[in-house]
Amino acid sequence: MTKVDVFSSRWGLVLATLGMAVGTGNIWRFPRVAATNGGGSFLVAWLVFLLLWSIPLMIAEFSFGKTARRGVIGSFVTMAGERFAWMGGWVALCATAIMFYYSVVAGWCLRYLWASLSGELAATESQSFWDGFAYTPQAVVTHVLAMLLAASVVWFGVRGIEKVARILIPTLFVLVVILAIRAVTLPGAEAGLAFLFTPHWPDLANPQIWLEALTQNAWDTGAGWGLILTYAIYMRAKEDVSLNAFLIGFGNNSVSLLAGIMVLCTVFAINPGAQAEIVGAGNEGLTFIWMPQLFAQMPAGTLFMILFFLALSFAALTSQISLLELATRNLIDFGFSRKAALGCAAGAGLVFGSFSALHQEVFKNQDWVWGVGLMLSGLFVALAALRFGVEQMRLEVVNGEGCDLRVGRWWTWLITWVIPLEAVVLMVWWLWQARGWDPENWLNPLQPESAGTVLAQWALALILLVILNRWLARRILHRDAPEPG
Amino acid sequence: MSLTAIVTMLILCGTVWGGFGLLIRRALRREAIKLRSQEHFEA
Repeated sequence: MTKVDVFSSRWGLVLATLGMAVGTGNIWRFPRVAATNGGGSFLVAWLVFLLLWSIPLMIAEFSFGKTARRGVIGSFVTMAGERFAWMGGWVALCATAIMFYYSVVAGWCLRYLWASLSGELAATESQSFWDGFAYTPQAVVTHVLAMLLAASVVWFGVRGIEKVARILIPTLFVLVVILAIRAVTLPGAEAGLAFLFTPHWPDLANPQIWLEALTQNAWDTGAGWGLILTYAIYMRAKEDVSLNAFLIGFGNNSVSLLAGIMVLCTVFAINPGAQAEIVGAGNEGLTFIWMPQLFAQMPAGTLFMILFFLALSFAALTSQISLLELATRNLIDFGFSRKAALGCAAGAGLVFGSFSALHQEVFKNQDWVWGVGLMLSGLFVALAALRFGVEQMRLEVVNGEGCDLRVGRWWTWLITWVIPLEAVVLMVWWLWQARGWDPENWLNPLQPESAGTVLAQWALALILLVILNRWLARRILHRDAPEPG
Repeated sequence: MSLTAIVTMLILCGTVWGGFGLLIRRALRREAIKLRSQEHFEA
């Protein structure tokens, strides 16, 4: 029986998994979405869905990885049966496709970190800096750099991932706290706090607030993506499941809240007149065009700009590492050595990510198709748990050996009924929204952000995976699952 | 800043950050108990 390396302690696992969960979505998406969806009332809904989506799925993913000790596809085969390899294949495909273009985003963060360190960013008008960099060959270079940095960590397996997480994640927390403290101590910052925390209770009757809150939880905690499952392969044999899931959920949302305070207080203190324009500028617009302008007007702004892009780079790189490990682990399950598997995964990422680095339409298309695909991944995790037996999983795995926080029947109920319902509602809602963005072309598969392109690419992927199902399952079952070393 | 905003901020931040802090404390305690029982078992 082969042995698999394990995290040296609970804190190694928690920090690595927090590194996976805390990404650019916490820093650039959460403040924007909170600000445009009613502030305080949105935050209430966001907290509710932490408990109704993210944490239950995290518990399921930890249970899969701890029990099966295989990557996403292998875990689905072990837990749900040979006929469900295609579902695991879908979860792996979604995360891998995201890894291809997420490396581009990590590259942008690294470029901006370098530009803020060198003084280049302070000396240039931020819109022209962005226009001269994004979607040019320069962005391919930074994409390659980000991919190589992540690969150099994944090369060393779980030990490398743990070592890096032990340095980057505590530093990231400290940076975000420093930036939040700086932001709330700026004159006029209380307007940002008031904007973020003033509740408009009637807004809670608006379904859009709840759907946006659920989407934010689905995208920024990484629940249901297969990444927690991948790190759970390296859990110690007597490691806890449920307390770790709660720790990661609350830790991730703590960073989001700090980022919301940091961004909105900075915006309201420095340029209150343009707050609607700033929060409406989209992820890249807010981060790469507006934030440098705001920092430039702040006392000691260059220093805080460096800290901001350092935090963003750490968040992006730790998430990129987990995405690359997921792809690598699945190839290891097929019999590749770690080095060969990493070479294939990173090589594919370099090639396919380059299209997103060069063409905005490709980037937007892939972000749209696989971002919504994650809702289907969450649904598949719940369905695989149902197939295994949710109550059996709760009693034998979640509340089994090493349990530090017993989980009641509420979890069984959430996985059986609530998560599938949430996933279906979210998918339908997002595709329906796409109809409103372009009523004439919403079903055109050649439009980058249409429902048609989502359905066409999903159909192609699902047909291929169903055809390959038997082969995928056999390749994995041919090899014994490793035991924790 | 209105009183409602201050109260909402305290409740939300208290729940998220306080919850995170309490979970860390519980994990630390559980790890200490596990370590003690392991040392006891080895002795």
